[in-house]
Amino acid sequence: MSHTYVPVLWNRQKKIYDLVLWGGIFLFLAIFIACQLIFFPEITAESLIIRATGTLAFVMLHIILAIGPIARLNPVFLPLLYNRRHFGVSMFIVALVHGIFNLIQFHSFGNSDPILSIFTSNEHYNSLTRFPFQSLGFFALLILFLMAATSHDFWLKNLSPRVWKGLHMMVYVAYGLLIFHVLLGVVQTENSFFNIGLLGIGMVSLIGLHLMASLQELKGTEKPDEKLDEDFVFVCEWDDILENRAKTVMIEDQNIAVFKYDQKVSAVNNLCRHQNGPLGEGKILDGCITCPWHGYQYLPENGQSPPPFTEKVETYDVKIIGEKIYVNPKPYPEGTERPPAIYTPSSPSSNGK
Amino acid sequence: MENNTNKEDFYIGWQDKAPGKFGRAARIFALLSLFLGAMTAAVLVINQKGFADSVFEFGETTQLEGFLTLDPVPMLRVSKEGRSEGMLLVGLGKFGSEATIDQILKKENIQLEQDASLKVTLKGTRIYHNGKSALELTDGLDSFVGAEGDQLKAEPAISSFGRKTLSGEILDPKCALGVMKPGYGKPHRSCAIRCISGGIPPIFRASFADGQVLHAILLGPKGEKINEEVLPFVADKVRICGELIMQDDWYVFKLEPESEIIRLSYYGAEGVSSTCGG
Repeated sequence: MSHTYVPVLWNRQKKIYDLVLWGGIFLFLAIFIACQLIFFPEITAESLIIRATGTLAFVMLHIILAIGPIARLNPVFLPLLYNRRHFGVSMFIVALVHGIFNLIQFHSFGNSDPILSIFTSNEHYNSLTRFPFQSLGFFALLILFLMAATSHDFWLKNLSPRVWKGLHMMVYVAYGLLIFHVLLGVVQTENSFFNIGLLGIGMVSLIGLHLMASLQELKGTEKPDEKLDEDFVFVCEWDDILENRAKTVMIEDQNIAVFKYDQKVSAVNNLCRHQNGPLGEGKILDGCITCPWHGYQYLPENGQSPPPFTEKVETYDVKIIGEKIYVNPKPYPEGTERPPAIYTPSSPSSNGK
Repeated sequence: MENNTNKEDFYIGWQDKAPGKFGRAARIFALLSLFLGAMTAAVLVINQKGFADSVFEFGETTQLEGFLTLDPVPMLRVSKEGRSEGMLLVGLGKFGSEATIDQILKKENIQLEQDASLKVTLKGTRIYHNGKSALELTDGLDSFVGAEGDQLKAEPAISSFGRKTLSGEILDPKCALGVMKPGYGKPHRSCAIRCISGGIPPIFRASFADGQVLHAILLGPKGEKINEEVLPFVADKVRICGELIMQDDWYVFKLEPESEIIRLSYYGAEGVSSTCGG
């Protein structure tokens, strides 16, 4: 994390990430081109570039979409999530090469504006088998462009995390468009078992991973309803939370992470202000709640990022009675100081009234 | 109590080094992705339909001497291995050659009749496949090198095969003969539409089970251009009815008056049958 904007805040892990990523991109292209020249050397250079980049971009999109749920299912895969935006921008660059070569090959040097030609040369919009699939690819590329162009914390901050996240969730719209772009394009033309088979495996794998991650999240987030009084709701026993870790609960639409540390308990909103990462799956390091996604940090007592950072999350009152931990789901404004509840097994303590 | 600064079981991206189990997981994922990606590339490439051995001599212009004719479409008839071969003339990009030829003839003050031929030297980029060829007038007006003698009456050898039904695709000859690979089918449809609407004469391509391919210049009942009329059917599997003619070394197919172009199923069979209708 950084409190100023720089194009890329390089560190060792990002460098390794990008090195492996672009090594993989060149390896894929080398294998694709080598196989093509061995088995079908008659292909033209333009068709080779179009097919290689189209296939690569689609494979990369599958990997990108798989990283999220895989990292949720098992946190050991979190390094893949970190710097995923470089993966996304790289995928857009590859897809852009595919799009530009298609535009030149099929729509340029004619009697119509090339962009207009994408939508007007084939006008069978009312037929599935004759549908102008290139228009679907155009809109998907447009979404990927918007995502790549705003893939920086400058835009995240200025658009607000909610708008930014909403924009970047459109990757699923792009994926849907691309499924039909591929299905009604190369799959229909080649009529090969392998094309349809691989497309099916990719789709089923992604849907399966997302369903599994959602189920795990549903199981992991408890919705307690045992009330201490009008305000406080039972969260869990003291021993149910590991030291420096959290218990996540959903009470009255409040997504709350209750952290245990140094014989104390504090509660903050579970959503990181960077990219809505799950703070409750993070850990307290150096006295700060540390988000598992990109390492954004907050002080548990007031939900504020340590200076010079400015991110803040809502805080909540907590209470410990004996071994039982309670939270009041009424949020305090972001960054409000709330003293932690102290764990003293013999007598009740709380940060509430 | 656990050490508050213990970072071994927690991953933070801005740290210099990921803890062991996180690094291992990332390496396994990266290797697996590379392997699956490589397999996907290989499987998809190897199982492609393949490409025609057609040739577009991109970047290489050839000077050719022959007879320029405008019937049935602009063509340069050249002598090749003791016989006459008709090379379809096409323009640069996705345009026909008529505008360029008109300008050349005007510039040279030549009034070439529709049924005449004129000995000329042209240079352009050759496109050829399966015994059929075309010449792209790549340099526009500069494609014309010179003319020799007076225009002669063209006397093409014409034989009719009678009424036939053809099943196949309507395409542009420039791409179908080699500029694009593949120069047919759905992905190429937009390009073929651009080419035909840009004045390149449409051809009908019917492939047979034994791998043979028939290319026929597609015209209206009176030999007129029908570029605009066929646009909605380009690169679709269709059936057409009309008269199949051999004019010198090119098949010409004249659509029957009032006959419709019938769309077939996407993977329907192609070929020629002796009856019309049905």
